[in-house]
Amino acid sequence: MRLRIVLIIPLVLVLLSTGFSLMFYFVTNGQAANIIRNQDLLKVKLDITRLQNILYSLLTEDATDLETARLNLSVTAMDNNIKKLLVTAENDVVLIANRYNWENLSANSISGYKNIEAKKIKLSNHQELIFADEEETLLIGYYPVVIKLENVEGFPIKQRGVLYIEYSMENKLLKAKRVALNQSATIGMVLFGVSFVIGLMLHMLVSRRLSKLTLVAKEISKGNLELKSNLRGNDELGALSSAFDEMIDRRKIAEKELRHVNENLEEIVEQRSDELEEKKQELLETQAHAHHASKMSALGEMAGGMAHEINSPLQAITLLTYKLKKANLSTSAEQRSEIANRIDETVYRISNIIESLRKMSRGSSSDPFEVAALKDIVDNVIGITKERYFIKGIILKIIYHDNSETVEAECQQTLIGQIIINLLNNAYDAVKELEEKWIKLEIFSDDEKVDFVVTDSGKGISEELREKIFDPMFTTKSIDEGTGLGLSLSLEIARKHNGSLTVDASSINTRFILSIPRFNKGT
Amino acid sequence: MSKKSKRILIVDDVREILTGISSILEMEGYEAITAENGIQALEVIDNNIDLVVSDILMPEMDGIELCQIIRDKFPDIKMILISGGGRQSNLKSNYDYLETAKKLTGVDTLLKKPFNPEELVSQINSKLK
Repeated sequence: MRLRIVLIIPLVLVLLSTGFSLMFYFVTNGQAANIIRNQDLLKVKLDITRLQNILYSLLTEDATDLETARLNLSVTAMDNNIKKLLVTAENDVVLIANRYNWENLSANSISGYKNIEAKKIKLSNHQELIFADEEETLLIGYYPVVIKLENVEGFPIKQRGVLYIEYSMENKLLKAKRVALNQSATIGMVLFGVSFVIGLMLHMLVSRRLSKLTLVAKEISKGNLELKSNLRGNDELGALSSAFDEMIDRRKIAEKELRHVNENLEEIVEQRSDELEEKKQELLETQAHAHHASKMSALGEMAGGMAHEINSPLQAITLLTYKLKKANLSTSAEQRSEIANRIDETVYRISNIIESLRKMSRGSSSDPFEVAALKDIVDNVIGITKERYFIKGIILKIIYHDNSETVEAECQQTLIGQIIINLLNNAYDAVKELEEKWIKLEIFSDDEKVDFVVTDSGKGISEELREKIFDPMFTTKSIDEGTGLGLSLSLEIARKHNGSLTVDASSINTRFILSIPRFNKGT
Repeated sequence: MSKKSKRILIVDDVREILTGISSILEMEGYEAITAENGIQALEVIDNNIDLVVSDILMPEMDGIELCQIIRDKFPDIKMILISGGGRQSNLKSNYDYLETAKKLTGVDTLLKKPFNPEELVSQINSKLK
């Protein structure tokens, strides 16, 4: 149960007004009663004293005129509040009364009259004995009178009598009570009304607006910024409301900015993605260039060997033709035929070299995957490179294991050849200055895959370099010798074949293993 | 008969060239001695050699180094260099390469393979006149 300030305040006001009304009633009523009592006492005293005097003149001085006395008593008793007005003789017998049926009765039989009190006033010199009864609604008065009455002998004698009055203040008190009640009720009603109005105002000004603010606050906490409190007025709640609404507005702006930033962020991300895409394209182009450059570099490296390779047999031919030209009679037909055959062989060798070169230079990553004999791949490679090794005194051994001479593999033949050339070139560079120079190309195969293993007399690759050698642009060669693209591109080609290119870390000598599956459509 | 006394050392790592050159020089009446590389050449060379024909690109010791040694040790021996147009990656062009070889060795005659054997013979003849 929630405590409501707007209910507590009117409730307190109602309680206060009720209390105030009651207090007002009691005070007013009490005061009115006092005033009535004092007034009535005076009035009664005045009236009765006057009557006492009249009675004195009527009953004592002149002949007893009971009738006139009765008339005067009746006149006095016309006041409705006088309930009982009697004159009793010395023997307490009612002489005259405001009611005729009381006359000649013993006064004691009339309620209220007490002969003890009558006796007191008869025996004393007091002019009056007047008091209120216990409930203070009645005024009871005993006044002494002297009555000249005939005794039994018919002789008039004076005797002491009593004028008894019973005056009721009840009507007046009731009236005063009613008035007080009315007044306090009116005041209570007014105060209640005021409380109601205050409560209503509190409800209108505070409660309703507070609940609106509460609602708005709840909506805000839910994330709804569309609702506003919009409370009018220059009061504190109005200020709170406008502060609230301002907060909502600011938050709206902030959210808008945030959304804007978000959208911008998306844009930025999109832009960055585009840039990345561009970079990627550039990289791909660079890679393509690099691939080309690497191929050209491999070709360039071979070109030297090639020149030698072709120039040497050409030179041999010129020397042989010179011999034929200079041949004289001492030269036999057999000798001449032999020279001619050697020229033919040499020409054939040159054409083989050119064919290998043509095949090697043609390869590209878009080549189809075709079934190729391992021996063809190796022969093409060796045809180009053999001369170089010979020149440098490098022993090149080609060893087929597992009957690999007869095995075929589905691959991009030229690219695989280029990888092998690359490995052989690296081996060449590694061993050319060594004391012990040899390079071994071994071919292994099983049902699923083919391994080309190039081992050279170099002392292996350090663990730290082993991770780097496949990075593009990494090279240990001088700038004239290598571009650093060879191994990374070789690895790329191997991966496109679902194969691998690794360094055999367990080997004492430098040992590269190119492994490709025998059946392949590439990736 | 004076030709007979002329001894020529031929240095080339390609055997068919070595034998080819030596056989035509013998046909021309010279005495031909062969070596497959610079080291072998230095083993056989002495003051009885009149001329050296050396390839540049060879394993073990190349023609340039060989010619430099011969020039220092046997200043009287004439020299002809022959070039196979081999590996030359640290020089811009073949021309630079040949000029560099000439400068390094002081040899003025440099024949590019494939050369005309008659050119070789006439160069030798003129040097050994």
